[in-house]
Amino acid sequence: MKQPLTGRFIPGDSPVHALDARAKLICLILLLAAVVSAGTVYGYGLILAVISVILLVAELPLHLAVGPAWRMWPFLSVIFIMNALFFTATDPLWSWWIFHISLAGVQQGIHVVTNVALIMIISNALTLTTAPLEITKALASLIKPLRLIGIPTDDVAMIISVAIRFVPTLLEEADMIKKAQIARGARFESKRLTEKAKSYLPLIVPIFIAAFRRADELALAMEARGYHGAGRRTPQRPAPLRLPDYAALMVCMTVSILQLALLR
Amino acid sequence: MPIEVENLSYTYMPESTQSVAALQGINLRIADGEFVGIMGRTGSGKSTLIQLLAGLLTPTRGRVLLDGRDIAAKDYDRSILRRTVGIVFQYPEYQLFETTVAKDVAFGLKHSGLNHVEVTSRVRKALEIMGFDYDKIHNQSPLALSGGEKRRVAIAGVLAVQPKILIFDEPVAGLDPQGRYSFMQLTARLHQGGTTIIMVSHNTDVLSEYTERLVVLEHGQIALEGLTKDVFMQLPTHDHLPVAMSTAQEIAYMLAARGMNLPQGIITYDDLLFALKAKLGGGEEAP
Repeated sequence: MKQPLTGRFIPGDSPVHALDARAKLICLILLLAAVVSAGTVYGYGLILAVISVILLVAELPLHLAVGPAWRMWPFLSVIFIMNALFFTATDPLWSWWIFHISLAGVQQGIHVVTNVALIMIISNALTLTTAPLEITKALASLIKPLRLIGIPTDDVAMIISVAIRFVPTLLEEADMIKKAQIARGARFESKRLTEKAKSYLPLIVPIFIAAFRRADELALAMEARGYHGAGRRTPQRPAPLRLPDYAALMVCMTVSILQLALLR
Repeated sequence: MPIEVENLSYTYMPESTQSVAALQGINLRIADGEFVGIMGRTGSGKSTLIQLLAGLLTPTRGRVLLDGRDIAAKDYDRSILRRTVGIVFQYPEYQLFETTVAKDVAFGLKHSGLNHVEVTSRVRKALEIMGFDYDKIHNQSPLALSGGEKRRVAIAGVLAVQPKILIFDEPVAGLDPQGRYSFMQLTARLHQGGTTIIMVSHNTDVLSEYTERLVVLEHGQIALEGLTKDVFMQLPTHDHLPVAMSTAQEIAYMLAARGMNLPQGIITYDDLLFALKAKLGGGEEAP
């Protein structure tokens, strides 16, 4: 199986896995804020330390935790070069036509690349340790206040969670169909683009049919179980945050505030 | 082409702390023309095993040998495997996609190098084996057929390649008794024609009546293996196995419990009928 860039969930029983997804989402936002506002070597050191602790406690293998960011190196290189060449024309170390390499530009390049890589590692740590459905539930619970301005957050949450719920099911089905077609002689590798596109028809048609069949069955099953739209549902009280969740929130909050303090 | 399995293991999600060892150290040899049944509860590794046999998964450890050659080897020509081993998954009807039945059945022959006339004759033959009138059905859309017809068209698509080894995953699940019977008659005919059949099923009656050899999987290992009759005979002494006796066998046990002494080894309905005839002295016209 090919390694997906990011977004894979690796089940586990570490303390990071056990944290409430709502707490983890807020922690993610706090840490992202910390990364964006970091400006000094000490600031980055602090964030690196926090990330190392998270990865260690979550028992994530390094190639899974850092791999996705590492594989983005062509993209990161382009960001670095663009920043180095175009950031500013004052004090150039080297100039030619419209290109000016300056110390400030190089610094800016390093700064931006580091930020992007750190953001990828941190958000990857969230998706590696949190089941997709947990993340949606957490999102649904965090967008609740939007109901005050008339957004049907329950429906939105239901749609998102049903969609996410069926990603693995459809992937599994797609996998099965792909295997069945390979077993009867399908070839999915072709040089010519039109051939390549055509060779995927035996996959795409059955997968679409399967998706519609699933949707029909699910709609019937939901109706049979008495679903009448999210508005009239009795709310399920989510489990309250526990001590480790608050501890994680406190740590992330402190890191963010320290960043701001370090800036001054 | 015998198919052999050497010390075969397969693990799902090997990187995770919750990795699942689906198969552990399986050794198995299936000779040409055998009819082998695979039993075991859900999650015992049956589906993983047949996908490994068909080369659709790569073993974590161990090897699958087709005609003595490792099918996972880098220099192995996979097209030999595809021509030799056909697999019919649990809901084969979901793999239909073409605009006409004939095109869908011919799909597997696309890269076979056969000319148009040969392809058409193979498609016709496969559809006729599955009980269709080629002239009536070949131009219809496979997606507009009934559920049972779709399944037969999909199986025809596998038969058209004329594989020497045919693997079925739960082929009779969801079929009515008539459909089950005609499907098993068809399988028996293919077997008589020299095709090796490997069939995964929960249906002990079907397995007891048709297979020659049985493999019982439990927790990814072979718990019991041998001639069908021997395996069923051993079942009562293996209470921990989640595999039921065949219906005929169960009837014989119930009769024995009520004091009717029948000979040992009643597995199929024919065995039961024969034993009852001998016991009750009924003539040729006994039921």
